[in-house]
This record gives sequence, C-alpha cells and structure tokens, in this order.
Amino acid sequence: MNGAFKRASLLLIYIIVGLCLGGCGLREQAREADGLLVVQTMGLDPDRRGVLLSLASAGGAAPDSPPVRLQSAGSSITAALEQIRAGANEEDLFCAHIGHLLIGEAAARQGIRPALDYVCRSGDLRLSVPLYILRDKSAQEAVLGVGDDSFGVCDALDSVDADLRSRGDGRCLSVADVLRDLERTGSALVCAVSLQPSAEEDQSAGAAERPETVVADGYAVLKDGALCGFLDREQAVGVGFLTGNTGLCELTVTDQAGLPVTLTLTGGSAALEPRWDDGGQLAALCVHVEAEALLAEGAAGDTEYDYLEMMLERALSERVRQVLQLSKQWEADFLGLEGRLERLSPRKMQALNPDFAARWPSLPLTVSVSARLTGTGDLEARP
Amino acid sequence: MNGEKPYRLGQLLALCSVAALTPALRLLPGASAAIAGRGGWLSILLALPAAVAYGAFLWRFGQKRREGESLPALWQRAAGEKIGAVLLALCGLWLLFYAAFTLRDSAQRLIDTVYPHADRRLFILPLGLAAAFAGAGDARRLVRCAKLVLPLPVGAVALTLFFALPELHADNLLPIAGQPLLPLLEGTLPTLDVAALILVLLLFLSDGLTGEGGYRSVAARIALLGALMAALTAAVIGAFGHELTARLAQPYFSLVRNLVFFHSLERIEALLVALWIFSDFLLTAALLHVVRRCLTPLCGESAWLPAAVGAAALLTACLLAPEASAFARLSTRWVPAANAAVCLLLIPGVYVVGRLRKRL
Repeated sequence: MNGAFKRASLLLIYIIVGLCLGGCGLREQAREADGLLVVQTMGLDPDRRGVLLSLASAGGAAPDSPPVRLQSAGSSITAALEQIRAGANEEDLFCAHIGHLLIGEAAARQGIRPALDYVCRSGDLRLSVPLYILRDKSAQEAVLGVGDDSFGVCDALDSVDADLRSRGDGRCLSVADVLRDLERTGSALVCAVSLQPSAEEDQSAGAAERPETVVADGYAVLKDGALCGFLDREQAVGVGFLTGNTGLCELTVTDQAGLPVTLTLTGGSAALEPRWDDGGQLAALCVHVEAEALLAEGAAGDTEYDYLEMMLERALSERVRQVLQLSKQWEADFLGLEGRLERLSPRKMQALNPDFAARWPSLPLTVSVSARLTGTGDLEARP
Repeated sequence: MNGEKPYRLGQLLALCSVAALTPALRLLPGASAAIAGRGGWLSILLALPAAVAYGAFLWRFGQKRREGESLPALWQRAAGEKIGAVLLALCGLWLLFYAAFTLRDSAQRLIDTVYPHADRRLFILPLGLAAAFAGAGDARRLVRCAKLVLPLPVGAVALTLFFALPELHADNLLPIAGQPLLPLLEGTLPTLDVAALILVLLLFLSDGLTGEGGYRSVAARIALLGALMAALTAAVIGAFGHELTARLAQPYFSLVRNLVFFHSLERIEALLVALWIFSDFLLTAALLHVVRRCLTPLCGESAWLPAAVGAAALLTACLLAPEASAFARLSTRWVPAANAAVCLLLIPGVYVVGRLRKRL
C-alpha cells in the first residue's frame, strides 16, 4: 500500500511538473489562431529614426479578405515591429511564417548586416527565408503598393520564387546562403527584383491603371555587407553557368539575314581550369562553358544551325566575360570561384601567396564556349 | 550497491546514450565547426579512437572492484580512506556543478529556440525538481526510463537528417583533402570532452551492473553515437557552411526550423526541443544520483543528502550565468576545461596512485 501510494504521489508530481514544462500554463502566450494576422513579407528601408518596417500578409484573418499592409518606423527592426504591434490593435501579428525579406536599394547600400543579424537572433524568422533587394525603389513602395485587393506583394514574391526555381537567369537565395557567402568570401549574390505593371488588369471598379507587381531582375551583389552593384537578367545567365545554376532561359540572337532568333537554353555547365606557374602560383584561369539550347522561335529560310550555334557561343561568351570582369572590377568573389578552385586543387590553393582575393583582380582570364542546338521543336531540323 | 536493484549493460548504455545528447548538441556542431572548419564532422570521427581508449581505461579501472565492492569503496582503497573520500567529494562537487549547468543549458536552449523572452528559472525549477526526485531514487528506474526514451531523440535526429538532405551543399563540406591536420585534431577536443563526461557517468553507474556484457558493447555504442553526431554535424555544416554554423547558438535547431516535411509540415523545432528535455532530465538525474554516491563516504548515509544535493543543483542553476554571453563563455571555455581536468587528471590520478600503492 505504501509503495502504491509513493508511486501515485510521484506520478502526480511528474504530471504537475510536466504541465509546467511547456511554459504555457505560467505565461499568457497562447493565442487564438482565428485572431492571428499571418505576416508573410517584411520590407526594410532606412528612415531618419532608424528603420522603416513594412509588413504584408497574403490575406487578412478572415478567409478571402484582402492583404493587410502595415508600416511603422523605429530605431531598430524590433522597435518598429513593436510600434506596428501597438498600432495593429485588431489583430495579433504572427511573424513565424514570414516567407520573404525585401530590402530597398537605399537600405542595401547602407548595409544589410543588421537585418541579417536580426534574422539570426529572432526566434520567429527562419534562416531559409529568401532575401530580395528591390532595384531603384524602397521596400515600402513594393510592400504597400504592389497588387490590389485580390493580391499583394506576398503573392508576387511567391510567383518570383516559383518562377526562378526552373530558370537559369536568376535564383532566390536565402538569408543563410547570403550570410554564409559573406562570411566566406566577403561578398554575396542576392536576388534582385524590380517593380513593373502587372500583366493582369485591375478588376476593381474605376481603376484606370494596371496594378504594379514585383518581377525578378537579375542579381544584386553585396560586398562587405553592402550593395555594390547589380547584374541584369542577361548577365544573370552568365552567373547561372558560373555558379552551376543553369536552367531554362531565353536568349535572342540574329540569323544570317539579321532577323531575331529566340533560343531556349536548357542546360550546360562551366568548368574551371587553373593554370599554375613554376612556383606553384596561380597564373591564369580558363573557363570552359558548354551549353545546350532549343530553337524556340525564328530561323526561317535558309539559316544554318551551325551559324546559330556560333552566335549563341558568342552571346554566352560575352555574358560570362562581363560577369567575370565585374567580379574583378568590384574585387568581389561573389561567384565563389575560390571555393571551386579549392575543390579542384586544394593543396595548391592552400599554398597561394598572396591569396586568391589579392590575386583575383589582376588574374588573366580566358573564356571558351561550346554550344549545341539539341532540338528544334516540332519542326524538322534541317541537315 | 546500497541495496539497489541491478540492471543490464544494455540498459545502462541506453541511459548514457540519451544523456550524451545534451552535451553533444550543445558543443558539437558549433564548436567543431569553429575549430575544424568544414572538416568539423570529420574531427568527430577522428576523436572516436581516443574516446574508445579512454573508455577502455575506465572500464579496466572499474574491473578492479572486488566482489560486492562499490566504486567509491574502490577509490578509497586506491587513494586511502580519507584522501579517497575527499577526492570522491571533489569529483562529486564537479558533477553537481555539471548537473546545475545542464539545467541552465536546458533553459538556455528553450529560450534561444522557442521562448525568447522567458525567465530561465521557469524551466530550471520544474526540470530540476523532477531530476532531483528521480536522482534521489534507485538508478534502475533511470536506466529503464532511458531504454523507453532512447528511440525518441535518436529517431528525431535520424528523421531530421533525412529531411535535411536537400539542404546540403557539397561545397560546404568539401574539400577535406587540403585541410590542415592541426585544426582537425584540435576539433576532436569537444567530442572527447562529451565522451569523457559520459564515460565517467558510465563508470560510476556500472556499480549496479549485472549479467553478461563486455567492453566491446561499450565501444560499439561509442562508435554508433559518434557516427550519429558526425552525421548531424555534417548536416548542419552542409546546410549553413562552417562559418555560419560557428556563429549560431543552436545550429541544429536552426536547421530544424528551416525544414519543411512533405511540403506541408514545418516549424516543428518546438516539438524537437521538447524531446531534448528527456535527455536533460536523464543526464541531470543520473549526475545527481552519482553525486549522492560520491558524497556519501564523506558525509555519511543520511536522508537529507539527496535533498541537499537537489537543492544545491537548483540553486546553482538559478544563479549560474544569468546573461547569455556569460553562459556562452562558460559553455565553450570553462566547463570543458574543468571537465577535462576532472576526467583526464583526477580520475586517472586516482588509478595511478592506487597502482603505485599496489592497492589495485
């Protein structure tokens, strides 16, 4: 009886302790799901007070309700968020599902380290959140201005994300990717986006203009945590080859008659071949690009496919060269070439003196491209 | 054995395996990445032979017990009755501090990952009370509980490793060939630190062993756990890169926070963090149980000793490193150093003295 009583008492103690372990019983943290405003996009801009924070949800708390857009400024992101919480008195902000972090160009030029550190420290945000830099505009213009009652910036950025998954002229990079690259090479690529009129008509009565939306627009390049330049979508094709992110993308060349021909790049790769001098130092870098493409549109008449392949090689060579030159000019290894060379020749790279970063701006480069047209659609290929 | 019920080696290894998860997760991904870079996962594997050798030494030490002799009695035989009792008390005080530190670590993990604004005492007090009750009782309850609990955290780690595969980038893990050897060897220290603590726990709790089972099973378990931790560290470094991994306070749970299961289930880090409470509980309870045994020769068998040990652990945990930065320093510098001193100097010292005095 005594043993049974002891066991029952212990069980009771464990149940009470177990209830306390969750923490919810002692703190008023529980929130009703119906009253939550699920924030999905966070925008950051500079402000005279410190930070201008813009938030948007994909929809309101009620089903089919329009997106909710909120904004406030503060001395820090946390302070601005508290301002918004205090102001949004009808709904409870829920930031654990933020899926996009959008930074205005001005804020990016000042440096995005504080924003990245905020994500690291936050218990709510994930390191896998995709990061975007908005060209020529402030993030609040996108967060507050994009879309209408039927869609908002969250839907637009979801669309950008989905679109870029299969494409080779852009890529969504997460906060973790950017932080890792900044720690590793001091520079990083970030997906750049810009505002443009939506392809959809505004359904609301009396709307004279098409609503704006966000579209992918190449890459932003960060150096030492601050924006140092942009690569447009054409140059982003070169980035795709050099970083192993080749996907579908269109490229227009001209045929022998000077008429435009659209080719769809379907795959390819870029191999690096370091040249070493007698002292074991890096003397030059050769980049060999291989590409495959489909003939999508044009090339009527007697255009020879060999000629199109040559034009494609020329176009790709130009893009790859441009990207490499910008990397040298900005003294920023945003392509991660040092890491790739380390994998090829680890011991020689360890022995480099001066190191790759110091050698890179003056390193001689050669680029060779080999392109093949692998398909012509449903039209029979000419021999 | 003080009349306690015996248990099997398999059960004791289950307890040690669960208990190892707490210090391993606190130290291994971050500290290994900080010291050994992208080869952090490799340095865990490199540490295994040394861990197995240290375990073999402790096992041999434990084998010196005579029929019915407990480990504290063996210490007193080796180092002399009074000196042995004092050395045991020293070791016990260290393990008491480690139990308090484990409670503080558990609270810090919950604060870092799920409850950023919570008071650490909110977690320390209930867990500490539960562990003090459990530690005051029979060790067989702990080992049986561990046998039941073990599949939960190990299964959770295996599941997260599987779902983390798409997050891995080869360039975060390779190349290893060009890595200098010294940081890789230095990177074995956190693993050895964890292994030493758990093997000492195993040594003290081996008093209650019964049935068959040799050191081969212990070595196999060390290798298995080492492989699991190496895989976990490789997953974290592969996902974040060693530079970012070294900066994060809870890199494994940051990885879990990023995972999406079957394109629908996400943000399960709170659930996984909660699973680690089992590990914290069992480690703390086992340590407090061993502390009681270590202090008994000096303080004598008394009813108040378990209560005093539990109260001391709770009080120390509540007062220990109130700021996160102080806790980080304690966690990465002072505690590993002190643990190394106890595990690698004090305990081998007792063995050497016993051999010199021809008492072993």
